Amino acid sequence: MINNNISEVITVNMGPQHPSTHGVLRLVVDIDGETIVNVEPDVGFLHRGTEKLAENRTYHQVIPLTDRLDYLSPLSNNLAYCLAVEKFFDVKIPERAEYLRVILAEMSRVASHLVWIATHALDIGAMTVFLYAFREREDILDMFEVGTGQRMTSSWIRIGGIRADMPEDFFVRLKSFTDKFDSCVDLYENLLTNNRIWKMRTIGIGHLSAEDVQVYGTSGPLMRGSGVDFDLRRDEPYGIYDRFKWEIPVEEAGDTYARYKVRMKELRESNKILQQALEQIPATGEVMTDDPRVALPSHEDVYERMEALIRRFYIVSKGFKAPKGETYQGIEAPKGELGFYLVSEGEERPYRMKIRAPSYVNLGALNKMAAGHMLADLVAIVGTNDVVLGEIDR
Amino acid sequence: MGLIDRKLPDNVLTTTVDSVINYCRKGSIWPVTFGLACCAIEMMACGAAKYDLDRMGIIFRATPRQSDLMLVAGTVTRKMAPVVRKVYLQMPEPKWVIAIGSCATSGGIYNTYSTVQGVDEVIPVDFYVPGCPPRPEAFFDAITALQKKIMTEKVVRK
Amino acid sequence: MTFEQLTAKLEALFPEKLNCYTEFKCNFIKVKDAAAYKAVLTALRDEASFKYIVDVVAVHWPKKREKFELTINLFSIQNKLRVFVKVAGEDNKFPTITDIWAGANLMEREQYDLMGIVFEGHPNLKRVLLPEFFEGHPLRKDFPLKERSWFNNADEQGLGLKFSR
Repeated sequence: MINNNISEVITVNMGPQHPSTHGVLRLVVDIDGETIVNVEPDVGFLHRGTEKLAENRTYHQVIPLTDRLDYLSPLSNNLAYCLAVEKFFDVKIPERAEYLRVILAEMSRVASHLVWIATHALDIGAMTVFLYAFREREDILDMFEVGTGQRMTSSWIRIGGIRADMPEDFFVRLKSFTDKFDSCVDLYENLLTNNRIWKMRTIGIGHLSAEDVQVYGTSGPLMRGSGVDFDLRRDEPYGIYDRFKWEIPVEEAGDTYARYKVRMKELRESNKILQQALEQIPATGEVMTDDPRVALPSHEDVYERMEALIRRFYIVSKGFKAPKGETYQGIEAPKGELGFYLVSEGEERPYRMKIRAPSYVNLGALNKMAAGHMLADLVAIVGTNDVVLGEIDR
Repeated sequence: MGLIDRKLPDNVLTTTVDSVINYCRKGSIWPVTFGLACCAIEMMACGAAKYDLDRMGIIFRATPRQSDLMLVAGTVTRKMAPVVRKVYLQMPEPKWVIAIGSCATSGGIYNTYSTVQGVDEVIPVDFYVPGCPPRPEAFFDAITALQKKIMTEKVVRK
Repeated sequence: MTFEQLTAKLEALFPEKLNCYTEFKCNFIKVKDAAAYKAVLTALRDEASFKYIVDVVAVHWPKKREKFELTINLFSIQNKLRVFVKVAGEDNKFPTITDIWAGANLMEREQYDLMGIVFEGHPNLKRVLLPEFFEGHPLRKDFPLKERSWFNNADEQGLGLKFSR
């Protein structure tokens, strides 16, 4: 005879080799029957020591390391780091570079959200979305390749501007992409928004209240999905985001479905920003600042003048010195608030670099979101958290 | 071949057991999904619509028990190394390993206190793919190279 | 509320204990008296709407008298203001702030793991990114970058792994 009153908590292990943990996340789950009692994330399987490595590299040499943090949107990480270093110098970025930075950052956001919708839907059981979303992501990666020569980790945003100007083909492709992208989002929404299985798997799952998200520090779509109207692009403006008209999607419900709707709207809003940036961008112009403290002298100069040659050699081999002090710059990355806290001792290398990784902080609320749900819902909750292990473990 | 050519009825071909089995094996490589870092995203892109690994008979399996190829895509850290080894040991013979990306090959730019300098410290590797991350074309190159290697293996006498 | 108004308000609450300054467009509140550290944070949360905790950063200064410095990064969504609360100590012991913000749990564990800061009163203070058998704290300035001899310290799965490089 089965006694239903006895409840026994057992501990099961999920990961690190598990198809729906998006990498090498390990979850130690205490379950009572099939109900989750407690989840403890065990991270660090991809801890590569980026922060320690950065202390031994010049400010320019850190940029390739930032690419590999959140590898779904490498250019957002470049942007956050470069903005933080630029705060030390108060550099004036050329107009065209500002627009190209916005374009690259928003393209990264779209690419990142496309991987999120693809894997999130795949985990819950909708394979078709995966294939469609990766089709559009390939378009973006092709554009990155046309513009920067590398599909993912291009390190294209540099201190004081961007590496080089984009070819004409890049803008032609981007124009046709922005024209069709809204209908692509319609396609994903057709497959999911009113899909009964999708709604049953997501509505009411992983609830976070507006109070919780602030106490846990979860930022980005997790915050906006819980009814907190907060976006660093508007609330702590950086770059030239004040020149575009776009809306910040906010949903009140605070569950997985609300966060899904927030991210789908963000895809459309990013597309709006891209369209406006394409219209407003100046036709020609410099893309790198001429501030001699951070920028490399141009090649023409180097061939003509001895001082420029020495300067270039000095910056490349030894680096430039940042003033003594501490600064922080946070940007609205696809996952939430990505920030770089830099401590400088007046040397060529950062004394300490702390990466405020949104996924890592969002993971802190996992137990709050998952407790009381079924074990099968944990997959949906990890998916809605949008974890990237490169950023969590650093 | 020439001696027995005309002595057999129609629709009969002569070949070796080795090449028949190897031919089947090379056309149905099932890799275990073992994405560790950035390269895993390119691995996913290979499996998706544009590059389409399915046309080569490659279907990703979520369990090592059903797979014969391990694609180590990403940085292997000290904490992850025993897991890599364990997953490898769980795979049935015959099994092959492709190390994808500079991190899995040699540690790459991460010459730090927590990173294993190349996955070959932990498991034997058949092919190394350079790149950070490698392009999908490089993946396909490694897989066709693996298929050639599979055709040279001796099945019966092993 | 701007940072100047906040400064005036805090100076009234904690006279002579704070040093508020702005550096590279970032607003810092240096708590000179470590005993008032948690009272300042609680006042910031309850009276100045700093409900959103962003980050906890620890810095190691081996040459200074106060060897460890902690920076709490807070944001007020209501006032659109970011402040950094700094506190320094001679040894690596600081009180935990998990009772003020629950999200500080993981952030403090990370700083314990990498920097060796002991947060007194933390509910679950153990390593998070590195395995338990790791020795030392890598982000301290005296830790060598390539120290990999700890690789062979444990064979936790019993696989007989030997690392040579």
